[in-house]
Amino acid sequence: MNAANAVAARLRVIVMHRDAIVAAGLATTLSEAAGLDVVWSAERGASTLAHDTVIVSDQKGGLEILARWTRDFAGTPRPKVLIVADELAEGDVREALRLGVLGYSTVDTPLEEIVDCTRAVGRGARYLGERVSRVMQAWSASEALTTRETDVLTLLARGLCNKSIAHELNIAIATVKTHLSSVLAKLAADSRCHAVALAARRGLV
Amino acid sequence: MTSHLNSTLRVAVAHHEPLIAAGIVQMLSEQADIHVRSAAACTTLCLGDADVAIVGHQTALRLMEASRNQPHPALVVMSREFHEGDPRVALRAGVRGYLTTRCPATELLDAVRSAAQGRSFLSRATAERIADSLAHDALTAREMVVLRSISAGLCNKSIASELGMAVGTVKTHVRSILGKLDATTRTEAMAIAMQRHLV
Repeated sequence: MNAANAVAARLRVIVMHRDAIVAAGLATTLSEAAGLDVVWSAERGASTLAHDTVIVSDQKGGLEILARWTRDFAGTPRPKVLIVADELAEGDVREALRLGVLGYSTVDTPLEEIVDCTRAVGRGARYLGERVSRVMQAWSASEALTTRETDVLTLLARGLCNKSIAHELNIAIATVKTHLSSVLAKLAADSRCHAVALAARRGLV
Repeated sequence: MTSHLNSTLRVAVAHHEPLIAAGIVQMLSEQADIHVRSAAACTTLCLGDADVAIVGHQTALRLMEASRNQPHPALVVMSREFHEGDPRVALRAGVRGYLTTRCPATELLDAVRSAAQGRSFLSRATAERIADSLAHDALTAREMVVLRSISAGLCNKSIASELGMAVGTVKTHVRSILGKLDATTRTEAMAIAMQRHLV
């Protein structure tokens, strides 16, 4: 750590993670890192929307902050949010990035990554944790599902048979079969059951 | 706090996830009657003379297996995500407490103090999951293996050769799984299994 840097740029960090143990771990880790002033807060007031602050939160909390900003404070600089997620799900990461989350990491990550991530987000940079970017890359290599394919997969994951899916979506059984074979190919699934398991793990449904 | 417990409780935190370990240490270090330290979970020796050790699920099973008939700290599992049968397996192996990372500080403290006194403790979330599982017929160990194979995309024939059993036997297991999960198709069984965190 460059000493001049540390003096020049102290960064305010608010930890407001849903899980008390994770919050305690984040607060301790970040307090011990140079140049960071950590506030540990359970309260989700408007003060957390300051743009010169990094907010470290869980998936749901992080998205709530951005939703509130969009609703009440649009036009002001966007809050800098770092999500430290409990589980890594493709759907969650995509939604978070789409809504303006800058940093994304996971609870099982090494402590250095949390610190690096916080500093980068403080500079306004986008930063994905090592495991997040590796897994997202692997997922991105496969083709995205169309809306209709996602509909079919969602119903499949609820345990519906082809006939019920066809009835529910008001399409022909043959069309359901076409969508499903496309879904299986895109997910690299060996069977319908495999597709359901993969979709649940990736957070696609 | 009971007054006869005037000695300090020694707690070793050997959780494999650094952020969780740091959080547990931070929470316990605020307690006057608890002396907490981080430890590596290589063997029970690393846990030294701790009264209670907090570890992950797999570490707990490994330590209990390795420390048979030897004095060892009471183990409390801190789990981030667990399958329905996990707490039962851990408790049978001799673990004293089972918590999830979502638990509030009060549950962590209750678990540590209970374990030190030789009593068992389940966090609310764990107890709920166990209560849910009691409402269903439990799958046998063999059925669980077959269910996991189905979730990995294997057909009956592949499962049979993988597990070294006849295709007919696999079919019997699958029928039994469907019955117990109250599902009419394999896909429905998989959907239910994912919802209930069975695989």
